Amino acid sequence: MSRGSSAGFDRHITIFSPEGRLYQVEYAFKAINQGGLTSVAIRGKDCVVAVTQKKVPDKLLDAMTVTHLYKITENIGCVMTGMTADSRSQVQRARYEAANWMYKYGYEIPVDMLCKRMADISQVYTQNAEMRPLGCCMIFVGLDEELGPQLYKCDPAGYFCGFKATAAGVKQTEATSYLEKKVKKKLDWTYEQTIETAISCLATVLSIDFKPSELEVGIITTKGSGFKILSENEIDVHLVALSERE
Amino acid sequence: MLHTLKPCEIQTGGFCFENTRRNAVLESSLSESGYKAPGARKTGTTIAGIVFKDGVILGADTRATDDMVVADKNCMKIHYIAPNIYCCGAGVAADADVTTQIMSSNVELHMLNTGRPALVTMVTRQLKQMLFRYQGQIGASLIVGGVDVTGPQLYSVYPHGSYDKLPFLTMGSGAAAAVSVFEDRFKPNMELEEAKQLVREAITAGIFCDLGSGSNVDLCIITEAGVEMLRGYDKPAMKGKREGQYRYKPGTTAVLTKTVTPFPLVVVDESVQIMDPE
Repeated sequence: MSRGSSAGFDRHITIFSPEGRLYQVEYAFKAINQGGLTSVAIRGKDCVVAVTQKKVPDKLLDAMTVTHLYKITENIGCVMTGMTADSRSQVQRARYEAANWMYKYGYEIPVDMLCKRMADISQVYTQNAEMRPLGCCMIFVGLDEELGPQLYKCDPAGYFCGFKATAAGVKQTEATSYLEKKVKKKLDWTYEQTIETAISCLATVLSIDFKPSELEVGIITTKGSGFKILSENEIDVHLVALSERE
Repeated sequence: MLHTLKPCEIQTGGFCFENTRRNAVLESSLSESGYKAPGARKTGTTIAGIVFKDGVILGADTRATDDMVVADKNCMKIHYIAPNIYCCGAGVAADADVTTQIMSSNVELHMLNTGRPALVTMVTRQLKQMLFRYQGQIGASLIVGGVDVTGPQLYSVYPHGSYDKLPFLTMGSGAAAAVSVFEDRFKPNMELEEAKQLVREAITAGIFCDLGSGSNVDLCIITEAGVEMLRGYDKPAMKGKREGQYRYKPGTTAVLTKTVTPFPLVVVDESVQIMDPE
C-alpha cells in the first residue's frame, strides 16, 4: 500500500500528516517545556494544592510581577505551565468564560465545565489551519459545591481529564511517577500532607532545595474563603515542617 | 483570541418592527370593509405558587379566553421544564407555551452538557434575559417553581423581564383575588395537605371573582422525591344537575276539539335514481 505523500505543509499548519499525526499539536506540547518550569498539583481530602517554580532569571526583574498562578473565579484557580504570553491569553479567556456563564445561568461555573470549555476552545485551534495551538497547559484547581475539591488539566490538543494528582512541564514524567508512588487509592490526605507532598515532589524531581522565594503555592480548601495564593511566610512554614520531617 | 477583545457579548435580537406602519395601514383599510384582524388568545388566568415544608406547590385554573368568549374550558397552564422544575404561564397563551418549551429545550441541553440536574435560578435567568430582549412584546407572565440541590424555590417573571423570588406568588388577571387568600392564610413551612388546600382556595377565589378565570383547579406538587400532577384537583364550577324534568307526558295538555282534513295527493311524475354504492 503506497503512502500518499504530503505537500510538506503538514509540519507548518494544523493538517493531518500521512501517518495521521498533527505535527503542530505535537510541537505545541514541546513548546510547553520552553519555559523550563515544572508544576505539580495534588487533590487532598478537603483541599487542592498547586505548586510551581518561580524562576526570576534577571536581578532587575520585579519578582512580585512574575507569577504562574491565576485566580479565575472566587472558587477556581489555575496554574499555567508553558509559554507565558499564551498562558495569559488562556487565563483571560477562562475568566471571560466563567463570567459569561455566571451571567447567562446565574450560578458559578463548575470546574469541570470550565475545563471542558477551555479544552473545546483548544480543540478548535487544532482544526483551524490559520490559527496555531497555544503552547501552554492549564491545571485547574477548584471547589465544587456538590462534589468537593476538584483537579482538572487541559492541554494544547484539547484533551482534558480530572486528576487525583498531576504534573506538567519539563520534568513531567519524573514528577508523575513520583506522585504515582505516593498517591494511594483512597484520597485522605490532610491539608498539611498535601502541600508537603507537592513541595517534596518538586524538590525531589528537580533536585533543588527550595527557598520560599523560589516557589509559588496556590490552595483552595473547603474551610477557607476561595482560591488563595500563599505568601512567602506561609510557604516558609511548610518548608520548615518538611525539612524537620526529613 | 479576538473573543476576549470584545466585552461580554449581549445577544442582539427582539422582534423586527419594520412592517408596523404597513400593518397599521392594512388594518385600517380592512376595518373599513368590516374585517377585524385576529387577536391573540389570552389565557386571562389565575396562577399561584407557594413554598411549603417539603417543596413547592403550583396551582392554575383551566380557562382560556378569546376576548369575551371561553376558547378552552380545560386547558393546561402548568408546563414541564425539567423533571424537578415546572412553570405556570399567564398572558398570551401561545407566548407562554412556546417560551416554556424553549426553556425546557435549553435546560435539557444544559443538563446533558454539565451532567448535573437543573437549577431553578438558571431557568429564571434565561427566561428573564429572553423576555427582556423582546422588550415585553412576548406577553408571557410566568411562575417558575422547583426543587433543586439548593432547596425549593419559587420565582415570578414578568413580560418585561423583571422577576421576584418569594415564598408565595400569584399572577394573571385573577392574581388579586388569589393573593388576598394567601395574604390572609399563608404560613411558612406548612404541611402538604394544608398547603394544597390553601392553593386550591386561592385559585378558586380567582375562578369565582375573575371573569377571565374559570373551570377547574390544577395542582402540581414538586418535592425532592418527585412531582405529582393533579389535573382537575377540584372542579368548583361544574355544571349543576337539573332538578326538574322538562319533558311533558303525552296527555298533559287536554285535547278540547279534533278536526281531520284529508289531503288528496295525485302522483304526477315517477323517476328512479340508482345510488352509486361508492
